[in-house]
Amino acid sequence: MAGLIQATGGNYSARRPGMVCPHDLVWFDEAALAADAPAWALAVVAAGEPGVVRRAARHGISLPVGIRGADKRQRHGDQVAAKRVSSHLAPEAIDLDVLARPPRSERGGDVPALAALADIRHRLKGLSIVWGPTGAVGYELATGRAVAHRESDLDLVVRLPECCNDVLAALCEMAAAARQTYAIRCDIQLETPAGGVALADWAGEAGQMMVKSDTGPYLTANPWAVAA
Amino acid sequence: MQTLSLEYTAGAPAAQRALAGVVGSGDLEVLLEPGVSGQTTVAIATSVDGVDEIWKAVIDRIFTEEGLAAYKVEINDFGATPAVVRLRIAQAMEQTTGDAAHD
Repeated sequence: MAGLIQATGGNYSARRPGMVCPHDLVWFDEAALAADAPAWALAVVAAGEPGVVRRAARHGISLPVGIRGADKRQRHGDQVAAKRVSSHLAPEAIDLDVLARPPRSERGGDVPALAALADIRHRLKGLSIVWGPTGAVGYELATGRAVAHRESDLDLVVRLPECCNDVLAALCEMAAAARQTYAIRCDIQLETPAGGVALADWAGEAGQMMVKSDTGPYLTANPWAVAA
Repeated sequence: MQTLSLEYTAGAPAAQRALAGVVGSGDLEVLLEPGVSGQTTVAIATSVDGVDEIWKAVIDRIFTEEGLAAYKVEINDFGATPAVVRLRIAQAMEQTTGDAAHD
């Protein structure tokens, strides 16, 4: 396809020390937000809630972050200076044992995505991969704020520096099982050397899949072919 | 769920149908089918409210181009960015002109 330039940047397939990846949660004080940030976003950050690192171009020492409001329409994108970040939590570091304890253990009936995660986490453990929950479920488990609801998807990120067909096939099977058993979407994002790729796209029949890089999306036949 | 319908002047019907994209956050599914000769119709269903103007601008830019075939376009959006919208439609269009039909 003419006009689709191969973007570079965005290899989050293996976390190195000090690396901040898309979907990581970062805490900072509200003064770190842009002067024109909406009042609701300032209030969310002032209440001690984190921002979510976005996949976007990084300008020097600032991080692209998104703030999640109470309403689905409330999403604020901003740039936060890395030195203002006071703490940081990766999806793979979120404590999943809270799923088994009240109050989270009592939410499974209302939030199928939480029940699905409680169900598949041990199978995922068996795959020896680095993975963690993102989206509403990851945010809820990390912050304790009940943002997930009945229709929430189960969003997971899996770091995959090398292509492994057995792992990919097992992930497809788990996503399909979650869909069937819990009637929810299970979106698995693969972090490859090229950037983020949806597992569903890898599993699809198209010859090329879409890579989300820091500088925008592009198509490739093999996101593991780029030098790591 | 919001829906949006758009129409454009186009050429002869596209050669074949094509599907691109996936169901998933930040992505979309686009189905292109041969349209009625001379006219492209685009139907968008999106889970994101209040972005009609952006959609119209992005879709206008693609389908007002001269010399395009006529398509019947259906889009199921899951919060894709304009760059993702353009890429997925381009991916599907390329498949409609491809010589090896899958079905």
